[in-house]
Amino acid sequence: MSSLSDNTSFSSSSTPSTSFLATNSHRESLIFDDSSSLQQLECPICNETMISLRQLNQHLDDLHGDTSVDQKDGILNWFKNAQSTIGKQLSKTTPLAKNKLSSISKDLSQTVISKFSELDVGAVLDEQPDYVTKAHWQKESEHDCCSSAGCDKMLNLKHGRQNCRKCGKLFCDSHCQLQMRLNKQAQHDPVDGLWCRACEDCYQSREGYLDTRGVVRTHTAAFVKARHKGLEKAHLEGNRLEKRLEKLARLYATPAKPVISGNPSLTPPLPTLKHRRRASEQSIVKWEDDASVTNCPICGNSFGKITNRKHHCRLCGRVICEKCSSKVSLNLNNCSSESEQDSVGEVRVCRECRTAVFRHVKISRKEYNDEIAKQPHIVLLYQKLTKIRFAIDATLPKFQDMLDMLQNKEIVNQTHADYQLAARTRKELLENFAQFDSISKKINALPKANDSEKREEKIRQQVAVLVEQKKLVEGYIQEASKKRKIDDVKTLKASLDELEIEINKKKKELGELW
Amino acid sequence: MDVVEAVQNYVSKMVNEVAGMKVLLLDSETVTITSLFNPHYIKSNELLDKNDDSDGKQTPIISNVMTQSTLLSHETYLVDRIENRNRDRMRHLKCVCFLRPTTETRQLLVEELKDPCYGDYYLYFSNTLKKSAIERLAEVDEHEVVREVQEYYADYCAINPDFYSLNLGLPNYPLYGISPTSWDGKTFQRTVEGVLSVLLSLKKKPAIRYEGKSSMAKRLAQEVQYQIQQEGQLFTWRRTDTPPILLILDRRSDPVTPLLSQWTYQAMVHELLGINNGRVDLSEVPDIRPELREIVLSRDQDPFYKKNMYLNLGDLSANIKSYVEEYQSKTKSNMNIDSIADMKRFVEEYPEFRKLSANVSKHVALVGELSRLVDKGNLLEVSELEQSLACYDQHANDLKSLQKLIQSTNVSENSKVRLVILYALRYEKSQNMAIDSLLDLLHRNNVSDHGISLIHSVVESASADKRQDDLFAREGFFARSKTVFKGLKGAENVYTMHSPQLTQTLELMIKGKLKETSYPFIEGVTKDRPQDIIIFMVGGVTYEEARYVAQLNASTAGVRLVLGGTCVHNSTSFLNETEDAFCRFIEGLAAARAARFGRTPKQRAV
Repeated sequence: MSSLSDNTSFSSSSTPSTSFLATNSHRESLIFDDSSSLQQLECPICNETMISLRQLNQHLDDLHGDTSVDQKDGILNWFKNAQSTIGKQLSKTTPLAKNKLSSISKDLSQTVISKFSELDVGAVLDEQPDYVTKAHWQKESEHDCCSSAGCDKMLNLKHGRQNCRKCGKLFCDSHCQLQMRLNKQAQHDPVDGLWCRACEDCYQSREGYLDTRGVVRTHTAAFVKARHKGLEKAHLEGNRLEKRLEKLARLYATPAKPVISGNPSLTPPLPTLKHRRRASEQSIVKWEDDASVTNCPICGNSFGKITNRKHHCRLCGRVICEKCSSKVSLNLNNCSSESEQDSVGEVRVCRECRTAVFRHVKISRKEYNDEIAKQPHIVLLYQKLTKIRFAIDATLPKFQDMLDMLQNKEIVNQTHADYQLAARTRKELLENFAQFDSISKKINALPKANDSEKREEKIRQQVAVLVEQKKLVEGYIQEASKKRKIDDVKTLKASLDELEIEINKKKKELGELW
Repeated sequence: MDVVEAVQNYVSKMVNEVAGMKVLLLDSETVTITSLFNPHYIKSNELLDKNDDSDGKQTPIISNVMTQSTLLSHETYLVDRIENRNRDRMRHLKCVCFLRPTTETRQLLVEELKDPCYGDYYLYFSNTLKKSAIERLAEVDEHEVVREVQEYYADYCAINPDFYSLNLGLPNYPLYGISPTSWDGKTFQRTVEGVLSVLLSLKKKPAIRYEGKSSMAKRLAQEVQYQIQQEGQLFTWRRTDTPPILLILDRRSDPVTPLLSQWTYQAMVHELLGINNGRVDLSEVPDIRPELREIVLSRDQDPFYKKNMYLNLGDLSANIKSYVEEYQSKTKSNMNIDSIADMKRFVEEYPEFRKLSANVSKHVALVGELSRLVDKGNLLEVSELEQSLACYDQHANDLKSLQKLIQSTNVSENSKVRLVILYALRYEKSQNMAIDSLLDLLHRNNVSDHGISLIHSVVESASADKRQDDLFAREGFFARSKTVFKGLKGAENVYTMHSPQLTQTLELMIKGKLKETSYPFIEGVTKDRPQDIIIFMVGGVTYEEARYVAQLNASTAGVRLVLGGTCVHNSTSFLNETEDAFCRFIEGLAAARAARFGRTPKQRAV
């Protein structure tokens, strides 16, 4: 009889040891209770009903071929169950035969089981278990509810009963349909994981699944590097040209070189001086050959003999036209200051060299820096305003908490430390509010003068002048027509028309500004 | 996978990262960010209008994402356009530039940096920046005002959370190049950039599938794949369980959907009035109040619209009735002010009430106009026939009602032409197709030659042998029984029986059953069921399809879909595009057409 008791213990499938092996043990227990299980073969994994063993085999191969170990477990379990039911059925027959048969069946089953386990062990020894761990699964009980928030379905045959393979909680069928890849420790593994059933929360909590922050790429470093390089290059070039300018200045400062004899500074034959200068200028930078250039390299205009004459830039030596060059006064002490004082002479310099040399003293740049440094009044006020806003934002919730706390504890005693603290905070807040208010009023009262308004003002004045002129001209016309000077009237009328057009244009501009 | 949120994140990050008072500088394409959301904010609307007037060529890319108040809360006090050279100098402000990296904007930026109006510049580009462009900008930044140069890939128009568009349409971006099966170079470039930015903003490195029969889809798929490989660094992030799918489809496989009359709110407004960057022009409507000349339809700001955008006109009318009733009851409660408490309540509720009243009048006006247009064009009758043509094989019946509608006077020319196109597509292979007699009939009922030529173009461009799947599911017994079942199921509403081809494709794809022979992978194959799918439709999508995708998203757990296309079509824009393409190739096709349609209708009429 001992064998029988063994068998019956198998059949009580609600014990945890077997329940975690079978995916849907509640169904099994139900089915095994009604004693028709031999006819009704069930797949141990998905519980699908089969007609014959062959079909079951086929089914196992087809659908559960890949999860071999899982399946083995299942088969083992099923086998035990089936065996127990056989025992049960047999128990209804004569006790003697039953005894005999059950012992046979037990022997049989044990041999089969041991064979199976050997197989299993072989597989296990070869590699780690190939299935996702089930150790963390929620134990089943009689009254399980779906763990999904807002779903209170009882877990039974109708709604199904599923463990999320990741978190292990129990769910109804509809809330545990999703699939994700898990490794053996039931952790998410998108690369080598196995596809497993998962609940919605686990599915969505996969890293990056709900990420809505798009990709960003910054080029700031490359930009700064390029800018730095560019600036450095320009700086070097500027320095080089500046050196040349210095040399030129020195050259011009010593105009009368006692070259041959006597005192040439007294009667310097002009052409010779010019020629000598030219030669020494060319020693500083090599001049481009006149004949090789037909167009100005900067503006592209072609040169002519009389109209658009060729000039040389004294700093880079290129041939340029008059328009693209200008005279720069030479200054001994500070070449690139561009001041007229202490000038020792002038040289022709092309536009590009000019900007390169005077780059770092460019007026616009200075102006620019000044402008940044000189913040308008509104900015200062605004900064104060934001500071106060921050302070208020920080203290207000704290104060709220304090109030709640006081209310809860029902502290009305004015000498209580908490009460006093709250009072102080309140005072602070009120002060901040008052300041905030006054500053915003100040900002509101600021004059609204900006560029566009200035422009507008200017155009208004122009319009006023034009209107005045128009009136005058109208007066003239009347006078002229009184005196019957028809020609004068004609010319005056023409100018009147012109004036009107101009006024309309200006008015339109005004309209656009508004 | 929410495109609206992705773009929103980019923009708020932009204005968040820079502390202090700042100005947001946009170009012609990024300008719609702010304008859409606040119709009361005149300045940005002006910006937009100026843009519309001055340079007709503009494709605003980003929309629906920022409101003026959100910008203000991030200390952005001024929004301006980089094209505007008359900006005031305000060196105390910081400048956040959000620009699309085109040659024009680069030039404008170069000029801006040479003479900066503001103190600091933070440059954000909506797409990948070439190295040469960075160097050029670095060269001119002599004042060293640029603090930040970044790429934020918000280079598309996010319409709904699961629906985007690149807004590429005529006349600036023609779809077809030298032949009706090749891309226009500029449009292609822009499309590739757009698709890449969608992928980057959603952080997806997809496996690409495309429609096998479409050479344009294939070319796009190859180019996107190539670019992903080129920009390998950008596309490296954590792996997903199964690679997301980028499915590239061609409009030509389903020419029917954009031709049908629509009955759901969003789709209907677009079909009958046109939604342009979320704005609807009602200035043509008789007796319209001036403040309703142009209205804004925004999901985020208009809960009523959000709730009803996918409902059909019947349900919508019921909802709008209850909406008006709600408004009336509020008006009444506002009428009787007897006590101080009432006054207080009134003052508190007044702003909300004003908003409600504006919204009610907006939707009432819109729905009123829709139903007026429906009555005027006899659209119910037209739509019934359209649906019958799209869903069932009933040649004799269809032909009879088609002839009747062509002869009727209160059906617009546009509807007649659309019906004949649907007929020609449906019964293209049918033996007793009577297209010639129909063309005759059209001609006799004063339909212009232009309209008739449209029929030729569409049928030519999307004939059965150019489509990927059997659009009308005619062949085979199973297909036929399926349509019967479909008919039984859809019997609830005669006007919305048709479901786009896209639904079928997507359902197959979700089940993992989409055939690899007709929708091949560009590289690598996965048999897993897809979890994230990004769809791009070459040649434009429709709001009807957007609605189906939204439905699929809601009904299928664990699968996320995002739909998009070169543009959002309604029947008019679809016909225009096809026509534009085919006028250009007309010589080459004249012979083919003659063979197809016999003599021209004019000759027959004589």
